[in-house]
Amino acid sequence: MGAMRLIVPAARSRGAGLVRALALLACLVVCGTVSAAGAAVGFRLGIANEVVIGAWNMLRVETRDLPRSTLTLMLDVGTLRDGEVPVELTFELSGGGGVNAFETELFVPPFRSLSWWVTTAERVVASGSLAGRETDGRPLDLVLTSRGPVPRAVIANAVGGAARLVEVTLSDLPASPAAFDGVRSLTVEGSAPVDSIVAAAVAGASVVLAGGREALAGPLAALVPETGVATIGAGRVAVLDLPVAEAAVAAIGGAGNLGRPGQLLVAVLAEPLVGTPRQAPVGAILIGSVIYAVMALVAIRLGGAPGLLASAIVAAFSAFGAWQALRPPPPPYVGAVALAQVGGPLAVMHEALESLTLPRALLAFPAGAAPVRPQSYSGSARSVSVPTPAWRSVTVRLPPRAVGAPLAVVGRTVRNDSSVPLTGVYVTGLGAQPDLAPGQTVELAPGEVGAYPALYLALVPALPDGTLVASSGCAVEGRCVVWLATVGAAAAPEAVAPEALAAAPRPSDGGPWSP
Amino acid sequence: MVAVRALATVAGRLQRADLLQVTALTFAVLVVALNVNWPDGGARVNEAWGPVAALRNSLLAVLALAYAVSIWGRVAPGRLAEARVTFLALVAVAVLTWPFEVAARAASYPAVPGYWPALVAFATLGAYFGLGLLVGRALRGPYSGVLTFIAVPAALALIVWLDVGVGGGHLNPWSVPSAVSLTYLAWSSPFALVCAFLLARPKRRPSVAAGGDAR
Repeated sequence: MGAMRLIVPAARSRGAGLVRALALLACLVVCGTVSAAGAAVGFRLGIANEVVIGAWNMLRVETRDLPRSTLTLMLDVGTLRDGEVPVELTFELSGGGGVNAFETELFVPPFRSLSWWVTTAERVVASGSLAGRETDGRPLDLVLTSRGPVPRAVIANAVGGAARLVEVTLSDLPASPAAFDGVRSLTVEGSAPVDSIVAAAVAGASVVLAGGREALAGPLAALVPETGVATIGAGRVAVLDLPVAEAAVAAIGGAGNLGRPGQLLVAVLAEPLVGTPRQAPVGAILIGSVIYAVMALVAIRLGGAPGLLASAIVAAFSAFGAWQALRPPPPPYVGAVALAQVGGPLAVMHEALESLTLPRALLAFPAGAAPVRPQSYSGSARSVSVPTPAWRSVTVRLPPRAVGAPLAVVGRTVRNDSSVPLTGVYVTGLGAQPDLAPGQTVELAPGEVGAYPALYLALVPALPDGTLVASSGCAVEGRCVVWLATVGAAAAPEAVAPEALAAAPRPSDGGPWSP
Repeated sequence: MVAVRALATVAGRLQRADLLQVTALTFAVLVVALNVNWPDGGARVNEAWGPVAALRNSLLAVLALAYAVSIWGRVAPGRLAEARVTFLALVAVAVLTWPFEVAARAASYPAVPGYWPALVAFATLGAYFGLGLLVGRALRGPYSGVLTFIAVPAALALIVWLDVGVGGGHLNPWSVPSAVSLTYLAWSSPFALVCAFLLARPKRRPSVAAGGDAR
């Protein structure tokens, strides 16, 4: 029995050791799997993961060897006063072996918290969060260099420390104008994809290619004329023979010619895009309802059975008549406006849609739309749905995009290159100009100051002198596009020196026709 | 002929002073509600339907409850016939007040489907008339006339209290038109069935002991 006592514990001890070893192995396998799964998802919001609040940001999610999965973003865009205002965005991520990338642009409003998670059918494979206090609304100043680190201190000293300098790599640069919405400047030393350079310039960034023309590769050299500066969309591309630090300072100083087009769009939205249906006057309602009530009572009182029958018929006809007379056309009522800033052959277009519903409804908008005012909504890659109370409207903005410029400014001459007439032509500081028929060219001349359409009412005061404002499509299609262009000397700076770039007109500067 | 005779009976009931005055008062209340809530002076939002529909449904509920308690609480011959014709007269009032609701609905564009207010008006009439018959039966006796004045508001207050207890918006006639509620139909159906059962049964011969209808 004593031997038995000795043997049994030893056997148990061996068994327990085996169990422990297996448990350790299983733990290692599980940990390894979890670790691999964690690394199987890459999430980036903003260029180089730098989010700009109040601007369109690039969202890129990479999955590696994952089955079909779903990305969910949950934002709380509420305030202390309003409480939680949830925004839920859901995107399907394609699965399969290898790397799958999903890219889109999101308008990121000021938020209190942002959380995201990627789920497969079985489990959550990755998640993360971002607190509102960790975010920044300042625009980005990107520097792409292939020759060592960026001298941040030099640049910060030169621009006063207000710059949000971000060093990027080639893979960080997106190729859509919307992704560059929150970028103020881009300095490139060495080579860079032309698509990204053009997209950044179109979106409104001041792009500087450092190192002079000799350092540029073929497509980049073709982008910029001999003058050294090309205006493209809302921004410009300049070639400067300077070291990267000085080029970055020049790029930051040369940004912001007209102000951000996205902010100017808000000025256009000061007036509602859709009007509520006209209501019948209360006097007519009073007279009609009193007449009906009196008729019904008289018929009941004096008519007996025929009177009751007659009052029922009167009720039916009155209800039908009231329905026909008072029923407004079926909603939703939709209006649209776009603001496009022209520079060279391209323009960046910021669009807004307003939809008014009369009953309480879930208003649907195209994918990518984001409400102008902070409110709860949900979105996917197919559409955006905004729950809306009765008799309320929702205004959304769409991701900015590059379009062909419909007009060309050459000196003091403006030419309409589009197939539609340009109406309401006005130059700030110079006055109203005649409408431009397709193909027509006019020379700008002093006109009546202040004589511009109501659509420009909040816009014109926000523009520097020497800005041409024109619109198209307002009367016929009901989808107004307001075109902005810089005219005169501001349109094509001849100088290529950094001082000249920095001295380009700003919203607060006086223009060629300033008093 | 039966239909014409029934119509004449209902018309006769509506011509009687009590119901005629109540109908006129109902019309006046709805005219005021419609015009007070109609947007004017640059207002963009028309939300007239909400108060008009709620008021109409509540008035129908109060009238049904009050008339049913008052008639069924009495110890008098001809109670059943009186209840029947009064109920039909109230149905006529519901039909005649419908244009106010339609006018408000046309301009307000509420999210509630159009069938619901129409359905709920008759469900309310049936349910509250049935409830009133039960309350009237319980009060029947020498003091039923006095107790009616207490029982009607008490019953309404009890319903509102119960409605608040279950979350609100499902039982009381004021809030029911604004949203489709199966709870309301489920709650009102038994009382509507009671109403149908009591009003549709054949008249019994007058008994010497009761001096009229047996119950």
